[in-house]
Amino acid sequence: METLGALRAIISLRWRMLKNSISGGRKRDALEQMSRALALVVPILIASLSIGSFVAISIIGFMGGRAIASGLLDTAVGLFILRMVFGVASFAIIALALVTPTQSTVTRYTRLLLLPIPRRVLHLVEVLATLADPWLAVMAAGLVAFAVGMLAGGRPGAALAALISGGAGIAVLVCLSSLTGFLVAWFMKSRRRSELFTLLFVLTVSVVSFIPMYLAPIDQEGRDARRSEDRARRSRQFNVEEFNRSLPSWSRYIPSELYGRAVADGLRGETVRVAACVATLFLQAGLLYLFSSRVHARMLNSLEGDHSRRRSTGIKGPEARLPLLSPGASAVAWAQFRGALRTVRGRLTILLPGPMLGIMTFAFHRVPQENWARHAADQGYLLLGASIIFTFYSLHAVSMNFFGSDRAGFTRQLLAPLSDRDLAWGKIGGFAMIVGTGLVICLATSLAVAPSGPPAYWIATIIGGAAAFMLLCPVAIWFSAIFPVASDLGKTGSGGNPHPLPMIAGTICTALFALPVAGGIVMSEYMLKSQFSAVLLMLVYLGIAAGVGIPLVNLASRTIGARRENLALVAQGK
Amino acid sequence: MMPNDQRAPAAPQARPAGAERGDGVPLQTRTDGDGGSGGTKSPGKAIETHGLRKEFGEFVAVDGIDLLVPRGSFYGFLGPNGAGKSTTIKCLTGLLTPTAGTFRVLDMDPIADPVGVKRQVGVVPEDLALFDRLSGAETLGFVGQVHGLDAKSIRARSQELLALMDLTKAANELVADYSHGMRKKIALSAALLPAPRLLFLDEPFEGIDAIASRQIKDLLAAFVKNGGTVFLTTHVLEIVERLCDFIGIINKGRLVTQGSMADLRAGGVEGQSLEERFMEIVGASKSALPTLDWLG
Repeated sequence: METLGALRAIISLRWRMLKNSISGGRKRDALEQMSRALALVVPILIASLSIGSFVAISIIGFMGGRAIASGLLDTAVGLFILRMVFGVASFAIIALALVTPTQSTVTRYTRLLLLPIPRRVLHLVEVLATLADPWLAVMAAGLVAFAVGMLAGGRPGAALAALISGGAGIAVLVCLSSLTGFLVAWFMKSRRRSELFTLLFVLTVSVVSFIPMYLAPIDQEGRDARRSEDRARRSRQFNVEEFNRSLPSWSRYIPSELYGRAVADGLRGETVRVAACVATLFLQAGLLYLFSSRVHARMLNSLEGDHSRRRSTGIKGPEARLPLLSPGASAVAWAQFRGALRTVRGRLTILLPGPMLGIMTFAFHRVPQENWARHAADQGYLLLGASIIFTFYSLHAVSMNFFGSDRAGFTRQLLAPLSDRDLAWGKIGGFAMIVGTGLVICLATSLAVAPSGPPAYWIATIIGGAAAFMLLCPVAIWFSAIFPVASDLGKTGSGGNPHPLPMIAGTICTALFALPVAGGIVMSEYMLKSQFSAVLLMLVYLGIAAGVGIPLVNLASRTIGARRENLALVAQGK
Repeated sequence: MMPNDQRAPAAPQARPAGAERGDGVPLQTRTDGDGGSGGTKSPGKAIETHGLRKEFGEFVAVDGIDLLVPRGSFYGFLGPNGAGKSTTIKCLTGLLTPTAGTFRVLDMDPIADPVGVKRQVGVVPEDLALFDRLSGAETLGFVGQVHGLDAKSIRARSQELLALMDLTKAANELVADYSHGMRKKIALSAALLPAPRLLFLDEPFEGIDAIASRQIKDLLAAFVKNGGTVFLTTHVLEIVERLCDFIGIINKGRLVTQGSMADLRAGGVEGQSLEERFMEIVGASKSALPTLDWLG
């Protein structure tokens, strides 16, 4: 009873926290209320899509179960598909469990640990909470629907076997997912370790995704021939039994295989074998649960992160004043630059676009000459331009939420003797330094990977990037002032995102402001037939952008003045 | 107090001569939110508000208060939780815009010249307002720079403040890795670094160890002795008794009393402690509280 009471209290706590996070506090103006309402659009869209997947998988599961039970679909083929789906979903669930702790904190435990709630209850709640993972929920729905389909197909025994083994399989995945999550969360108790892990994780995943492209055969014709040969061989020779025999012996014990065997045995009426598979699954679930409980206890006992100290104790003076900026604006710019680059998001912004597109270009070099990708890869300035655009995109977390991403640090800026214009130009200065750092990396990567293309186009691309930046600045100030969101750039998930509306607007504006750059180069190449004219055109574009952008930033800075109180409340997390 | 006597360059005024402590603002006990003497300029006042009011929707956080904080005073602003202390500080420091009323800080209008006022004011706000991703030394560097101090002064003042707060070893650690007490100390250092004329301190001693607390108290006392003004909120009445010479008590958004410590004591029963006097003023009589018979 005590355990049930604690469970009920924690579930109620989570529900109330979710509800309150949506409704917000009372100390807000109408614009902020509207901003919050708009911010709900994305979660509602995601929820709608999840419900759609849930229904679709249930229908497919039901039809599949019915088709296998009634003999419309070959049992071996049907179960093969089911095993594969189960296997892929299992992989996705584990991958998600690996990523989730990089987006959240475990500080919520501090209060719970002070209450008389047994730790085993806390553990149980955390494990059960895994069921809210959309992948698991969708998979569970599919497995249940599959069993119901078999029942509808007139095979109640097999349906029961599918239902119980499906439940046991889900239990294994729930426990495995929890164990993975607890292990990662335990590892990430230290802020530094956590941020390093997240950074390396994202970089590794991004780089690994290009490996297949790199390993692909160089010769297009040969590749096509091999593909069609493979396809023909597969259609001729693929046989589920043979595939099963080719599997290594350890794979017999993975949940998807045990589930598949249990259903197959159920269809054959071999109750004992079904029971053995189900028992193995439950045994796995039990062992994983016990192990996860140990890891959970360790995680709770190490709530405080370690404080690895920096060795240097010498105090450096403040950074140099930036040209064209007042001392105050310069200080804001340095704080913005340092603060952003010490976060996971900020580092990814700098480290990802240039090198990622560089790897892609490197891979494009391996395709035949006549291919568009190969042609693009030979024009290094295209790589540079694309890298700059992606740097702008990835910087939206900072640039479209200038005043929300500093959190309490922004209160310090509001308390400082800084005019609205100082604040606006300071933020723009910091933004420029971050973009500049990214640009250096993009340029270095582009020169290393594709040092080709007319030099005039390289210069035009850089000038065009500066022009796009000038135009983006007032947009960033306006949206940041009107739709601020308290975000943490240390998080890779939604906790580090700006308000969706500025993000969408920033994406559209970046594309729009990049268009004249592409247009200028195309015009120079095909109409003016002079590469140098691209530089001139871009200088004109930069002049126009500065002429429009600078007064607009000054105008946008008035919005900061009008929204100071709201910005202060957001900075205080209210 | 500071290694370098350089002030922020734009500090427009010298300290007035008649700003000594205890210049006798009479005790006023208020029951309404009426404005009082209007919005006239009072040169000897560090803070002066008339009918200062802040509403959040239908909720009135500060209900027309008339504060008078003499220059060179150590002003303790007391009140129960949720009385409106922090909201008042936020209004006076420009974080919130008052719904109604007028106010002057250091004889300047913070609405008309917010930057000018902020140049002469140091604040330790409720949430400390620190950049998590800057180190302690960088935080001080930022504050010095926005106040227009030169690099040499910033470095010298930072070293002295960090030494005073026992933060020298942690100077280059990120604030995100600081303990609560360390964060409080660096926030206080940031408030002191530009050598302000007026300090707003919202619960500055909470979470600070005894040694640092003693040092900070001495430092603040010296600051006031040299003509600075401290506006302090705290729940620790021992600190108020020891440091403050003027007191204002706010309850449910209204200023219920204000004046010198001597006046406050004089208004009560002889031998009455400050705590008892405070309880009496805010109307927290023991008999009105539940007795919790079930406890123990």
